[in-house]
Amino acid sequence: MRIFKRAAVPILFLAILMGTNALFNYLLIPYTFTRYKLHKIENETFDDLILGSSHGATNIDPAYVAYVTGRSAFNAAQGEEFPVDSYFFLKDAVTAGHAPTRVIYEFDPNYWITAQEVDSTFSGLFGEMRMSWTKVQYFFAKMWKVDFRTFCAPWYFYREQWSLIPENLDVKRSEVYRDYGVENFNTDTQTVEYDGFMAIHPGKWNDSIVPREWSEAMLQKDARRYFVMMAEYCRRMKIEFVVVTTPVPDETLRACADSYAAASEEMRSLAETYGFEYLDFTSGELLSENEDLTDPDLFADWDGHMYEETAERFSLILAEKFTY
Amino acid sequence: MDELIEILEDIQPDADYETCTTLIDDGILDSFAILSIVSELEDAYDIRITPAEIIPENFNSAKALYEMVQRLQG
Amino acid sequence: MSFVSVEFLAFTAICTAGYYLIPKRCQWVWLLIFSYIYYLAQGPQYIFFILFATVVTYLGGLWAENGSKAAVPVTLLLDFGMLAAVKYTNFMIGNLNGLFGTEIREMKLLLPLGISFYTFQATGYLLDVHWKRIRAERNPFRFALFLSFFPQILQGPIGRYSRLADSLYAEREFDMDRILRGMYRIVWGFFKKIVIADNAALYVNTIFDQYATLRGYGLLGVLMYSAQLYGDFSGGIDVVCGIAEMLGITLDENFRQPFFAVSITDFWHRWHITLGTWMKDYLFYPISLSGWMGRFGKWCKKHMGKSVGRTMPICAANVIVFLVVGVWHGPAWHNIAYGLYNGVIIGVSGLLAKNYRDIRKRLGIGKDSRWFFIFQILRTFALVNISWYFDRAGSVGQALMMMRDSILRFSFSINVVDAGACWSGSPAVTFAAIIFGCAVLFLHSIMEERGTDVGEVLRQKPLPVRFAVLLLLVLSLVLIGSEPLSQGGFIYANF
Repeated sequence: MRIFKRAAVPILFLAILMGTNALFNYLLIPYTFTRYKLHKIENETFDDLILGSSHGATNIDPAYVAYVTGRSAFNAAQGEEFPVDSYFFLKDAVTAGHAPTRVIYEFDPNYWITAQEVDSTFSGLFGEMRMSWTKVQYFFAKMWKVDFRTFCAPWYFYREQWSLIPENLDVKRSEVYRDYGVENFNTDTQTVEYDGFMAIHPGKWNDSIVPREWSEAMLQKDARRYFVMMAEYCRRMKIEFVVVTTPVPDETLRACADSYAAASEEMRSLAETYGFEYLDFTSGELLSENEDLTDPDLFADWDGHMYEETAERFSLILAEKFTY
Repeated sequence: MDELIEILEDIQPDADYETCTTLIDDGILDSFAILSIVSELEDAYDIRITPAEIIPENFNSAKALYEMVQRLQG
Repeated sequence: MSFVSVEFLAFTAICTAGYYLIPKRCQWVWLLIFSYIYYLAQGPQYIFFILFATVVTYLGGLWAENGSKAAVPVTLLLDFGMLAAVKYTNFMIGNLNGLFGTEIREMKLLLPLGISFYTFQATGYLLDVHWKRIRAERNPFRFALFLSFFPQILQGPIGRYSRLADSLYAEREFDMDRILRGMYRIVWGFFKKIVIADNAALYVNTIFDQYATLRGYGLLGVLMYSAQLYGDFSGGIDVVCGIAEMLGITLDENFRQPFFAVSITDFWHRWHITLGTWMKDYLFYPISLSGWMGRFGKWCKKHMGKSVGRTMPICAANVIVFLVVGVWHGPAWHNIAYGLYNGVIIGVSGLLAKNYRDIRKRLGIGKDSRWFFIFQILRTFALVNISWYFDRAGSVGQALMMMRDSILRFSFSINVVDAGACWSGSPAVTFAAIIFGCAVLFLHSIMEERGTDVGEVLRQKPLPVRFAVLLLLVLSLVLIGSEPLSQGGFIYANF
C-alpha cells in the first residue's frame, strides 16, 4: 500500500504530462486524408483496394475502374506511403473484417530506392490507424527504432504551426471531421474524392527532372521485404494481387531509361517468383500500345502525376487489363 | 618528519602539512605535486616508489607519507 | 540502439521493471542478460570483441594474482592489440596504400560498440589486481557484467572495479526516490542532448564542413562546438547515470562544470573525468615512475637544476599521455595536435608554476581575488576553445586556417545555417533555442558549482513548482529540440 502512496505523485505527473501532450496533439495535428482513407478501409468492404504512392492516388481513379469491372473500388494510396505502410493498411482492412478481393498495388520505383523520411506523414500513417493487434505489429515495424518524440508526441511535426490552431479547432469541431468528409482537402490544384481518388486540376507543377539511379546498392531492403510480405499475405488470404507501374512522360522515361528498365526487371522477377500479375506501363507492350499516354502535356509534373482527365483515360485502359 | 615537511613546503607552499589529512581528497596536491614529492622522497631517502604506492591513503597526510617512506626503507 | 529511440526507452523500462520483480539474488544475472541483449542488438558479429576482452582479462587477472610476471604484459598486449587493430587497421592500410601504391582492401568493420570503454575498464582492472589494490574476480559471469553493464558501455563513464563491482552485484530493494532521481537525470540529459547539442550541431557542421567558403565564422562555429560537445557528451552521461540510478547503481561522475575550470589541468579534472583519472593512474604514474624516466630525471637535475629537473620528467610524461589521448580520438594529425596542445600547455604551466606564483605576488593579486578568478576562467575557456579547433577540424591546416580567419575575417551571423534544416525554417528560432538551453545549463552549473544539488532543491519545492519545471523540461524536447534523426547518434559513442 505504501508503494502506491509513493507512486501517487509520479502518476499524477504522468497524467498531467499525457494530458498536455494530448491537448497539443488535438490543437496542432490537422485533419488529413490519411485519417479519411484509413477510416474507410477499416469500415467498408471494397472489391478492389488500391494501395501505393501518390502516383496511385492521382493516376488510378476507382470510379472508372469500377465502371469497367462492375465492382466497388477504393483508392487508399497516398504520397509517402511506402511498402511497409501499404502492407499494414491491407492487414488493417483485412483484420477489421473488410478484406478486398483484389489489391492493386501501384509500384513507384523511387519509393524503393529512397529511405523513408521521418516527417508528419510518416507519423500520421501510423497515428491514424485504429488500435488493433495489427497496429501493434505496425508499431514494431515502423516506430520501434525512431526518435521517441516521433512516437510519443506526433504534434512535434506541426510545432511551428501555432497560427493554424484556430482553423484546426474549427475543422475538428465541424461535421465534416466527425463524419469523415473530404471537402477540407480541396485546394486550387487538387480535389480529393470520396473514393480516395485525388484529382489534379490543370496547371503545371514547377519542377524539373531529377534522375534517380536504380541500383542494387540503393535498393531499400525494407521496401522489398514488406512488398514480398504483402504478396505472400494476399496469397494466404486468397486476395488477388496485381502490381501496376503507371505511365510517365516520355522525356522522363528517356532521362531515366536505365533506372526504369532496372526497376521493371526487378519487379518482373518478383512477379515470376511470387506469381502475381505485373502491369508495367513504362516498358514493353503496355508502353508501346499506349504511347499516347506519355505526352508530357498530360502530366502535372515530370515525375508522372496525371491530370484528372488523363487519369480517367488511363484508369479505363488499366481496368480493361484486369481479368475480371 | 621535519625534513619531509620541508620537502612538501618547497613543492606546494599553500598547505598546512602538520594537520591536514585530506591532501589528496581535497585536491591540495595534484598529480604534478605528487610526482614531485615522489621524486624528492626517492632522492632524500634513497627509496623506490612504484605506481602501486600511488594511492590516496599514502598521500593524504604528511604522517601517511612518512609511514610509507619508513615502510619502503625497511 | 540509440538512446533517444523508442526501443531503447522500452528496453530500459523493461529492464528496470524486471530487475525489481525477480528474486534479488538473480538481479545481477538479469543485468548481464540485458547488457548482452543490448550488445547483440548492435550486430552479432561484434560480440566476439567483448567476449575476447572478457575472457582474456578474466584469465589475466587470475594469472596476475598468482604472481606471474608475464600475465600483465601479455594481457595488456592482447587487450590493447585488439583495440588498436579495430581502430587503426584501416588507417594503416590507407597509409600503406598511399605510400607504396598498393591496393590492400580496407576492413569492412564498424568500430565495435564501446570497445574503447570496456578495454580501458578491463586493463584498469588488471593493473589494480597486479598492484594488489583489489582481488581478482573469481566468477567469470560477474566479471562479464563488470565489462558489459549496458548503459555505460556505450560512452562511459569508465568504471573502476573497486567502486563499481560491489554495486553491480548487490541485491536491491525497490526505491521510488531513486527511480525518480534517475528519471529526472535522464530527462535533463535529453534536454542537453536534444535542445542544446543537436541544435548546435547544425551550426558546427555547417561552419566546419564549409570552412573554405564560410570563412571567418570559426569563432561562432567553435563556441557552438563547445555547446554541442558538452551537451552531447555530458547529456549522454546523464542518461547513463540516470539509468544506473534507477537500478540502484551509482556510477562515477564524468563531468563537474568543466567550463568553470581555472586552468587546463583543472579542466581535465572536470571534463571526461574518468578518462583523465584512468590516464593518470594507469599511464601517467607508471610512465613517470618508470626506470628510464627516473634516469631522465636524474640527468635533468644534474643539468638544469633541482626544481626544473624534478619537473621535466613529469612534463614529458604529460605530453606522452596527451599524445595517447589525441591518438585515441582518432589516428589523424589534427587529433595528435589536439593532444599535444593540451599536453604542452599543462607541461609548461607545471614548469612555470613557481614563476606564476612569484608574478602574482609581485602584482599583489591575492589568493581570493574575484577578478583574477574570473580572468582565469575566461582564459581557460579561451584555451579550451582553441583546442576544439584542432579537435573538430578535419586537418591541422583547416584548424589553423579557421583560427586565422576567425581573427582576420571575423564574421558572425545566425543565418549561416540552412534555414530548411531549422525549426520552422528559421535559424533565429534555432539560435534562440540554443541560447535558451545554454542559459538553463549555465544556471544549473552555477548552482552545482556552489555545491547546491539542483535536483534536491527542486524536490524541496512545492508540488506545482516541481511539476511545472519538469513539464517545461519535457515539453521543450518536443517544442525546441532538434529535428529527429537529423544528427545521428552521440559523438562519444564512436570511440
